[in-house]
Amino acid sequence: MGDSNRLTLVASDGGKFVVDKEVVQMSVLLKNMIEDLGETDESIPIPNVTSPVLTKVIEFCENHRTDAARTDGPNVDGDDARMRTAVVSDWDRQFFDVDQDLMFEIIVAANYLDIKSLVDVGCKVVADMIKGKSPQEIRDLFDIVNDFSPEEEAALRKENEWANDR
Amino acid sequence: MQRAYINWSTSDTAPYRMHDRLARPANTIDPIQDVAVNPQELRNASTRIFGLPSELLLRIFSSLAAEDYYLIQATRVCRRWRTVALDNSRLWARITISDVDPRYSGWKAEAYIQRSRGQLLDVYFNHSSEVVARNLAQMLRDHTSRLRTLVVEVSNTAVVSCFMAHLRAGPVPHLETLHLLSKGASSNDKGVVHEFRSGRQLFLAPNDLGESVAHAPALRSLRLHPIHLSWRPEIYSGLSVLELRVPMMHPPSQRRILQILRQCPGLESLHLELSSLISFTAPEGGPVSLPSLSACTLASLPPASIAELLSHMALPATTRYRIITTEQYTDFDRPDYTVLPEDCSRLAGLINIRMMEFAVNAAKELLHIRCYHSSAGGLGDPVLQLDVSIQSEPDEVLTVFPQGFRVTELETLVVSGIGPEVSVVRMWRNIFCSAAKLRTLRLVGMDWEVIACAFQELMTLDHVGDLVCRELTDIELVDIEFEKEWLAGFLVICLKYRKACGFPLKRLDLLEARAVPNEMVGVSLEELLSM
Repeated sequence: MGDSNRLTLVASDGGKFVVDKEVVQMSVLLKNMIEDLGETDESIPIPNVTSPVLTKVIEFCENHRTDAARTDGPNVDGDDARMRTAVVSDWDRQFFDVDQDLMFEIIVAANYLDIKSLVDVGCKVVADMIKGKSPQEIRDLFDIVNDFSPEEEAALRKENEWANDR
Repeated sequence: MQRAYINWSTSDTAPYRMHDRLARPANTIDPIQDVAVNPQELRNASTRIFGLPSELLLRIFSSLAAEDYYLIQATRVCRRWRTVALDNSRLWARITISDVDPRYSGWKAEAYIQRSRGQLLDVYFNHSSEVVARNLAQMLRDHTSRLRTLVVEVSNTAVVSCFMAHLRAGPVPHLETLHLLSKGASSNDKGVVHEFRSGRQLFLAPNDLGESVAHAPALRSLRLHPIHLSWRPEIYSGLSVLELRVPMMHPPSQRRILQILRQCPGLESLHLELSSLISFTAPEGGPVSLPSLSACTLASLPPASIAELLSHMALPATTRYRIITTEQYTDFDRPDYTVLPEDCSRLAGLINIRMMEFAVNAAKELLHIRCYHSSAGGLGDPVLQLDVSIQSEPDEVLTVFPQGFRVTELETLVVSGIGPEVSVVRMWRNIFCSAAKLRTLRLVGMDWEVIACAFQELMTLDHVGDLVCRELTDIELVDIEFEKEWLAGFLVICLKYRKACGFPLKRLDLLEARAVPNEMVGVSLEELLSM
């Protein structure tokens, strides 16, 4: 029988991670699974998350393990308000100082694992990247191309003209 | 040819997949999305950020919504972003119109009102233009039933008037917060007179019998500067925040104010700023109980009116009081500062004051008093903050004030800012005789004469013949200059006398003291007393 306070997570590429139960309980998904499984030595597969991403997710959870109310249930209005006022710490900002591919994979993984605070911080970091930029600068940043049709472009121009005239 | 349509709506919670997209029916929320797939769109689908489910994209937009310029810019990046943003009406339900970006005011308000669809609206207006105000007020006229918050904070009273006129036009069944704040307006200027008159009819709608009835049943937070509604109590029913800065003309009577407060048993914050409170008739019923009141601010009223109003209220121990007043003179030409009623038993927070701070500002025109429940003071918010504009000498003020407070339980007293020009004997005697349980006396930035006088009074007897402040064990002298050599000697005499009487000091701290005599430097209290 292994340490009842720890469990093993298995990433989609087979990577194994032995972590404290307390840490992974920041994930609502894993918390529910642990409660359902009870005392067990079984590993928990995380099929949608690769080892590099899972490494980062665990790093975040370990750093935020003492945060209060980390597994609050979904609250749509609360999400909006929280996102408007959320503050990203220096640690969080450094945590997301990675290439865009990894950054978005972390956010998607956090969403899958239902780790609210990591989703919040990730979305806030992306929002901060957008702020202060023109639409074209945002496209350049995320490698998006302008896919508006000529008619849509005309509508947007009209909207812009109207805005500028007011 | 079959056209393929996109559904970028926020119900699409899975990561973006092109084959899913092609299989979905049209969504007609924005005309822009009813367009056939184009190559650029296919190219975008392969980017990493497009792998985010729409719900996460929406969260990112929610974070942008606090600064709406960025949100609007995001809607112009690509078709998916625009659809996701415009598909979510909640993103557009908070409308902020301010001087920061006047260019967008008119367009933005209209776009937000349209895009928010059926959502309740939270409107924040802080724009100096009367034209912009009128435009927004007219736009809101057809949407008053959706209004949840209206906060108008401007310096132009005419702007406030615009909103008041349009609010009267329709019912506001969901309005929870109404703040109409005209900053810096003098309470007797012409604009304010107008606001006062028009405000009287705000939120009163005629019923079937032609009678005026209140029509803002959900209202919880009401702040009005410098206007007021009709003083009909039913308008104020169920408020949790009430803040009224009433113009000078036609102030409410004390009876009306108490009737209004009686309608708000769940009140959490009360702020009353009015120049007078007429007390024609005795209030009806017993004291007004406000068990949830956490903040009580009373400003501009004369001290006696404040005391009388408080005498009709029953407030919990958790209430924090903020009182701003000006000294008045009694018929005997004595200054009157009694802001607390004689019987404070129903004002639980004002019983058991353990620490008080008295401070007079440098110009000797403002007295600040802070009272705490804890003898350590700064560990918590003061239970009472009292600021008084004074014309009398500060010693007059401090002589009278202890009588207005329950200082019998006082353990710590801090006095600062008393200058050399005042005669302070009576002040100290009054304080020391009233505060029998005083343990710590801290004197900050005081003149040597004032300190010497305090030492002298600490060697006197109270009205029953006992040494004053027999529990006094700690003295702290902060920012003091030992200008006169004899001051140190006088201090030692005082301490020796109290020790001889059986009430020795246990601690003497000199902090930031200047010109301290050499024989006092680095010596213990015991060594000092043995000199």
